[in-house]
Amino acid sequence: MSNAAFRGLALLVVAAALLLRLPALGLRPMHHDEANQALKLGRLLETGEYRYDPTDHHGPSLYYFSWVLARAEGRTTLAALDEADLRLLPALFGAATVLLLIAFAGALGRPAALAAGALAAVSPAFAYYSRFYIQESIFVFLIAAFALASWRWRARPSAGRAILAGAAAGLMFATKETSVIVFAAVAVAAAGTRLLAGTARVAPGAKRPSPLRDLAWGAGAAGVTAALFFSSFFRHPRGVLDAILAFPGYVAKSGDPGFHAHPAGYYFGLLTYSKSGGLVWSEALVLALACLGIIAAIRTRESFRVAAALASLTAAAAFSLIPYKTPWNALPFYIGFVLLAGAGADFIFRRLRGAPAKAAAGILLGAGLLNLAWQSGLANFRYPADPRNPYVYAQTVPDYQRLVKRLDELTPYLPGKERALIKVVCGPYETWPLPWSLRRHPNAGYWTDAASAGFGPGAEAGRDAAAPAAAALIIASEDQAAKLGPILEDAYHAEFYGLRPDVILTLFVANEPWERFLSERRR
Amino acid sequence: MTRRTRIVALATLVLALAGTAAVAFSQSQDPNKEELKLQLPKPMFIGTPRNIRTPNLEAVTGKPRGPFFVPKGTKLLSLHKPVTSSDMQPVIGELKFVTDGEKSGEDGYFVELGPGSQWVQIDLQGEYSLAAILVWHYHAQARVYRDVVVQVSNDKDFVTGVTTLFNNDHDNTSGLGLGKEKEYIETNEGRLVDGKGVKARYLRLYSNGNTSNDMNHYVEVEVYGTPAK
Repeated sequence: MSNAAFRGLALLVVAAALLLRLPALGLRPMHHDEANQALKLGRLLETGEYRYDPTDHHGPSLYYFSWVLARAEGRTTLAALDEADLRLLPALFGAATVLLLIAFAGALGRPAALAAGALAAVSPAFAYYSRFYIQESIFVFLIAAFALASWRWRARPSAGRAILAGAAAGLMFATKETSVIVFAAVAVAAAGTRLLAGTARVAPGAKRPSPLRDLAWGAGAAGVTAALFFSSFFRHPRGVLDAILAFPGYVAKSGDPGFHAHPAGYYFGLLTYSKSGGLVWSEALVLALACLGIIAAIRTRESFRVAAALASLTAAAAFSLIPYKTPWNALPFYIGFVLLAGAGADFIFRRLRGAPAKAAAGILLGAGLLNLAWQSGLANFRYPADPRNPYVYAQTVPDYQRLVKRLDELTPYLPGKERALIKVVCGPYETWPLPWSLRRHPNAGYWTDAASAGFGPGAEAGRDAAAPAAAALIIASEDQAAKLGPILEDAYHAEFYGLRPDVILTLFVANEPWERFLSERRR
Repeated sequence: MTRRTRIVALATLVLALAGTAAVAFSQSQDPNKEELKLQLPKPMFIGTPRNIRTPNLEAVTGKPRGPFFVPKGTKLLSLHKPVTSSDMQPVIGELKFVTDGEKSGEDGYFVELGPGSQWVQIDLQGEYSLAAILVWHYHAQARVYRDVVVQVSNDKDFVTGVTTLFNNDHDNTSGLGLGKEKEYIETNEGRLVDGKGVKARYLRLYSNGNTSNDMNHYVEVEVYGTPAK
């Protein structure tokens, strides 16, 4: 393949990745995980404060990378941010991952690397979670960067390349605790490759490797990078220790997953085929090509392919065996399968004899890519929050956006407008993403039950009901709304909105602002 | 609750029941009317949905709908009649599903229109005196369709002579006027809208997404009536 053709096709693949990742980033309602992370970013933006939380919320990199992007966009407060601002970061990392896959051309060959890049660009799973304000998109990028840097070090060892791989590893650790699974898979793959494929050939002219010295450089770079982030850039040194102490908690959580418990076949089932409400989804093409890539690795014993196959299979087995599962946790091993799928596509073309057969295979592969792109379009732009979309998980339903719209519509009629008192009376499960949606309302308060919010027996319930100005809006979960309804009686207008499948919120609007709003609507 | 309040509540309940029974009895006794016989699809979910209590949502009783009386000679008018829509290229299903007589709640029996406010329009191919309209949006899951409006007219563009038979758009989101009817949870019974004898050739049914997703669905629409005199 000529340089011009390679560059042209690479540009096309990256353009496709951007096309599926950048438009309409605010379309999907905020997921509660996104909202939670957004508030942590808001605190970092407004106060410069971030402290690693060893009990939850993964590593610090998401917040610091977001801080850089938000400042570049001129955003300095939570209220100034919107959904698209937040999701731009994972979208850019998602597109950059595609570029990194193409950069594996030296290891896999140009056709294989381009095929892998194209598959990642249009894969519904990768596109969907690249538009999600969680760690996965960054994490997958760093896995690819670590693999690329490690392979380059093996091919042409140097302290600089070892430091680069180490920095990527440190950032992986500073992004998600599940990085240890990837590191373990890489260690298994390194040992297995040595047995199956022998020692890698050092490029002609390259220096003899000094593994121990370079390992020390790499480990040092990883340690320093991770420590920088976990210590909040030396503002909170305790964070480094907390990053280690967090593991017993994560191990316990993985074994006691509650709502997130899924069978071992969950990830492959999700990727292979799903059908719901008239919609059919499948990324079986990627998995089938990856199988061919594994066969190619076994036949050729080529060290990079063998290592990629062993690392991907080990990571897939480990993630599948952990009872705690969320669909985005498939990505850390799925990226390996995409790389192998590229090798599989290349394998087909190498095995076929004659131009007609190759042309037919090319047409089929093109049709497969178009089908994946079509599915990505549906997943991201038509059904981004629809429970029938298999990548949707505990997602806020679109009906919630009506609630957000209603809040915006009512705000001009509230006493004090944005500064009006808003009471949210919900348990923790029903509260999110309300703190994000109410970020421009400084007097929004949160209570877990009606009594503590001032609506219980002997808690001046009547005062609230009789004086709507005290709380112009009340948002309540279903159980709390049942308690509030008789107390508020005729002083409030009530509406209900979906939050998540089978989770309902009730909005109580004091009669005075409601009537003013409605009379404006009648005009 | 005081004894006096209890007596008043009981009396109100008795009067309400008696009134309902009287209306039903008088209708059943009207020699020009007969009970509308409907074939309902089998239920797709078991038990009653969550009892959400807001003034704008019909309470779920879990009991079957009572009989509905229509003029004698009332017939199903809509079967296989042409359907048009604000979304002429649905991703799932076909517009003809709206009047194909299939009311099953399973996959493959509904048409899905795009997000936001959308409508379907049925051409009865002649003017009829409308007795009843039944709408099944989607009954495989307990959900509420937003801003449901049913209008009829003899003007295919719905510019003149438009009569609104049902409207639960309580805040005029769709711009068709404030609705007084309540929202309701979809079941296999469908929603029965009284045709009130209005004469019309065209029906237009609006909705604006639902509580599960922002799409609009129709399993079936049945229109009953008699030829306009």
